[in-house]
Amino acid sequence: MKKITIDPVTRLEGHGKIDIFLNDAGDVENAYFQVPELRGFEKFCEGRNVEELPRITPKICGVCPEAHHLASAKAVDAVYKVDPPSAAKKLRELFYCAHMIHSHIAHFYALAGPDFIVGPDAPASERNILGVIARVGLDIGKEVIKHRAYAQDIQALIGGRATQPVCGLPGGCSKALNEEERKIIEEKSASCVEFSQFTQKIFENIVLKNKQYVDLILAKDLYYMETYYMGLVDKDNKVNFYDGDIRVVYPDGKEFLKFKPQDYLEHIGEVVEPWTYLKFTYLKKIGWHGLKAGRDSGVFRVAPLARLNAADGMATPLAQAEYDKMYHTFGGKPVHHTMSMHWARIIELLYASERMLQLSRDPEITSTQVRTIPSQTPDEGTGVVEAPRGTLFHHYKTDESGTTQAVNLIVATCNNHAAICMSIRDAARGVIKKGQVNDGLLNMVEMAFRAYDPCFSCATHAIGETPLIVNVYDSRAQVIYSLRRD
Amino acid sequence: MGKTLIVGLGNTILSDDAAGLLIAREVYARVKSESVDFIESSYAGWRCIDFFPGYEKIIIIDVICDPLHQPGECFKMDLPKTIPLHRQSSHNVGFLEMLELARQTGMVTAARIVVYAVAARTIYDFSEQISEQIMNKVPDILSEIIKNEFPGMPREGDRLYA
Repeated sequence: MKKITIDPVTRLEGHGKIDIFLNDAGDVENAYFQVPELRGFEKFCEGRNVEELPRITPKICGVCPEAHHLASAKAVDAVYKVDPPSAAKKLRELFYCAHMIHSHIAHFYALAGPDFIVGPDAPASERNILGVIARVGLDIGKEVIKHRAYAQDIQALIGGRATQPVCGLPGGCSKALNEEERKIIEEKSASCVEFSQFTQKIFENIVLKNKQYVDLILAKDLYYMETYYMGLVDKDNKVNFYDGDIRVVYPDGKEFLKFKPQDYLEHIGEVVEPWTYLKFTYLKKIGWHGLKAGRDSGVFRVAPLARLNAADGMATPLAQAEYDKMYHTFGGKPVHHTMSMHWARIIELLYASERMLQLSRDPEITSTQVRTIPSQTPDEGTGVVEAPRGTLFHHYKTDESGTTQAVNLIVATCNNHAAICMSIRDAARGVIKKGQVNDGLLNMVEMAFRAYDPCFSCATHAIGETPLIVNVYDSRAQVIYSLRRD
Repeated sequence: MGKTLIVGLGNTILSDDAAGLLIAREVYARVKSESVDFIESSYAGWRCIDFFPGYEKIIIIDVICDPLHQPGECFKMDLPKTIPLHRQSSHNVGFLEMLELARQTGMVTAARIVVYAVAARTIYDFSEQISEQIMNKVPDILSEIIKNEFPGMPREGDRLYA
């Protein structure tokens, strides 16, 4: 048996390893995705003042600290049994829309763009953001950077600092928005709406009008899996990133579950497999049956496509129109094509921009009533938000003084872990035949998990680049092929 | 004369990963002026670049974790003007990749970007303690960075490190 390893060995935005095992015929027998997760973070959070956790937990991630900050702030609200004022909830949601914009722009243009704009089998030297800009033009590159910067500015303005936000306090926010700040946000939000609409056009012109890419998206032997889907929804069952109930739909799209975040333990189980550090989550009512898809498997998916599949629509008009268009194109709901995750992501980008603009024009957004001072004895609470890459759970238990006794975090990528493993396996089986392996084919395997925008980032920053090592082993575990790019 | 940005990279809850960040804080405390700004970040690749526009010189202080080097060894490198790039991993929006894009689009115009990297013992353990080996080297590292990047500083009477 041959073994192929894709092993980014340094810590840029976290790291993982893919092992692909070939049989004697050179076809893929199985594939495993492993994550060398940093352990012990939940223990590290115990014994601390629970009010500190919204400032500590974001440090686990250098990619989406804002998601951890707000999930933590909501959990602390629940610990103190305090309901933030309406203006504070809107302010938090506005902040969070900026974060989604910041993250989704990066993924579409810098991570997915090289595959769908430059090409999945283009030379590795061109499959990067510069290759994307070479295709679409430098002016668009400037717009990409400008609107990410707008989103960053808004996060910093509300978050209280440029990095690692501090705005979320038990019962609300640390400061209100003044009129001058509101106007700045409104102007930048309007620009983000235009840019998001432009992004839909880019996707349509470059991806949807290219038969090769459409075939890739629709390829059932490569990027297709029928699973349950999970996402936060508002009272109308529309997608919401910040608040609401958790809705799960069957693989046929009908509602399976709808529950309050604090009831997550009744519905979501966690299981450990011996070959990877990262846990798997599953639906308790269905059970864990290993890496299997379908109605009889408790595996579910989160992230943009799952959110759209789990909801009845988008709460803003332009995003709703794009939502309708996507499902019309695929012939109805739900969509199981993993590559359509990218389309769902830019529909969410448009929704986040529209929602940010709505909130910036809400008369209540400059209210100074942004905090309810907690008065209850702390005990236990759960906070849930939709991170860019899926549903994120924070659950804390404290003693009467507010000192944490137990902390449980279920991160988005953990919820997608089983699906990512299966997607990689299926893609590998589809592209690697008779032992033929090359860079372009391995990139098509990577595309299977890139669609999920996974984040294994407890590692937080790096100046160096990420070497990619590809090793091929024969049935005696001897390396017969090795590729390294530094 | 343009402004200088000191960037402290690291994570204060990942043991030695905090070393660069803490050294950067100390450097800034010694050279603080209207022409010098400071930011600390535990953010990944592209997010760091968001802070770079508008500066003529950027000094990044970070750690490296390499068993070939003794904890506390400090390395300096000037980033080249043009960076040869290729996409290397699956979830990689690399720092250099984005820096090059930011330069090409005129967002980042710094004439010089210099990186100081302090060798770490461990960056994978949750702890708020930095290795003693590194702490012992901090005064020397601090002195070296200030001598190289801010000649004439610190002013007489300033302490180097407590």
